[in-house]
Amino acid sequence: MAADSRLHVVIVGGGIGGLFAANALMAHGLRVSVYEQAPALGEVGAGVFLTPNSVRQLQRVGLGSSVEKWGARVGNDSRYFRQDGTPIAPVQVTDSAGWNATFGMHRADLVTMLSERLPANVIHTGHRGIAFEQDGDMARVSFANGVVAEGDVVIAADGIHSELRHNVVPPSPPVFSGSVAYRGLVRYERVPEWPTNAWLMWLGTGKHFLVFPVRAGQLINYVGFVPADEEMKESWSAPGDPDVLRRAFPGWDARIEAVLTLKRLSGGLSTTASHCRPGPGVCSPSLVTPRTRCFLISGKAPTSRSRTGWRSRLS
Amino acid sequence: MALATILTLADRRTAPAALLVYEHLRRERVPQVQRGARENGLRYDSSYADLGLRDAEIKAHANFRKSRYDYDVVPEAQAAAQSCITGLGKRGHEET
Repeated sequence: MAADSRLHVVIVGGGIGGLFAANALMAHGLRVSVYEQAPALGEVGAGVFLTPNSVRQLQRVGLGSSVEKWGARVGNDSRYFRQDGTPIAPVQVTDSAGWNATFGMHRADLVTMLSERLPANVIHTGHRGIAFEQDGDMARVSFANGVVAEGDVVIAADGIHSELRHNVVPPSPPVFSGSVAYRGLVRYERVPEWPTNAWLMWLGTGKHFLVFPVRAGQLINYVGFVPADEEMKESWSAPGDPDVLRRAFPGWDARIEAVLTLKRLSGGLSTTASHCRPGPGVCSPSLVTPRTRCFLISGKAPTSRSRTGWRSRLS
Repeated sequence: MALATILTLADRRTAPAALLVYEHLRRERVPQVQRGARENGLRYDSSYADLGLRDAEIKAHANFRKSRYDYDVVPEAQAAAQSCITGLGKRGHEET
C-alpha cells in the first residue's frame, strides 16, 4: 500500500458532484483543485432533497451541522396524494433505524456549504475544461482560457453536456424524457397552507406536483412536472412561463392552485428538461476507461427522475 | 466518498488501478439506481388504467426506500480497495 506523496486530483466542474468529491478527497488527505466554468459559484437552481444515505456521507466530511442548519427537515407528515388531494400513503422519511435525516435544501445553500469547506485557493472559477490528455503518470486538462492543469487523476464532473465525457466512454447523446420540470421558490408566509416540515406530492396522469421546504423552512420549493412536446435545452436557470404552469394543473388540489395563482411567483420559475442516456450503462456516471487517469462522475441530474442520480454522486 | 476511500490507498503508480476498483464497485449500482429513479418518475406520472394499482405500488415503495436509505458505500469501498490495491501495491514493490 501506498502514498509516499499525496495524490493531486483535478476536478472539472464545481457543481454538487465536483464539490462533494473535493470535500471527500480532502478529508482523506489528498490534494485537490476544482475548476468551474461559471464566473462564480452562484445562486443557481432551486430545491434538492437529501436522504439518509447522502446525509451519512455529508456528516463524514464534517457537514452534518451545516445540513441541520441550512436544511429543512422533512418529517412524518409527508404524504403522496391523488391529484384531487386524496391521501395515498406516507412518504418514507427515515432509514430502517428510524433516522430522520431527510432534508430539503436550496441548491445554492448546498453549493455554499460544500465550497466553504474548501481552502480559497482550491476553487478556480471561469475555467471551462475542453480537453484531456495523459502522458505517462501525468493527467492534463486544458481550459478554454488557455490554462492547463496537471494532476495524477482527473475527475470530469462537468455536467450532462460534459466536454470531457468522450475521453471515458463512447459518445451517447442525452435523450429527452418528454417531461419538463417547472421549479420555483416561495416564502413560507405566502403559502400558509403548506407545511414547513413535510414533503407533499400529488400524482396525476402525465404530471406530478411536489412541494418541500428548504433553507430552514424559510422557503417552500415547488416543482411541477409536465409533459413537453419539443425538446428544451437542459438548464438550471432557463426562465419558465408561469402561465404555462398555471394551466397545467386545472382542478387539482386547491393547495396547488393557491400557489400558482400568486400574482408574483417569488424568485421566478426555472424549467428543466429531463434527460437520460440510453443503452448499456444508462446514465452511468461513474465509468473509467482502463489505463486512463480521467473518469466521470457526472450527468447533471436535476429532475425528480434523477435526484438519486446526484445522491449517487455523494456516494 | 467511495472514490476518496479508494484513492486514499493509492499512489501515483497505482492510481489507474484504483480508478478501476472504483468503476467495478459502482458501475452496476449507479445505473440501477438511476433507472429506478426514472421508473419511479413514470409511476408518479400515473399511466395506469387502474389508479388503485399505482397507489398500491406507492405504498409498497416504502420498504424499498428504506433499503436505499440504509445503504452505505464506504464499507464496500474499503473492502474493495483493500483487497485490490494493497495487493497491487505489494506486487509492485516486489517487482521493483
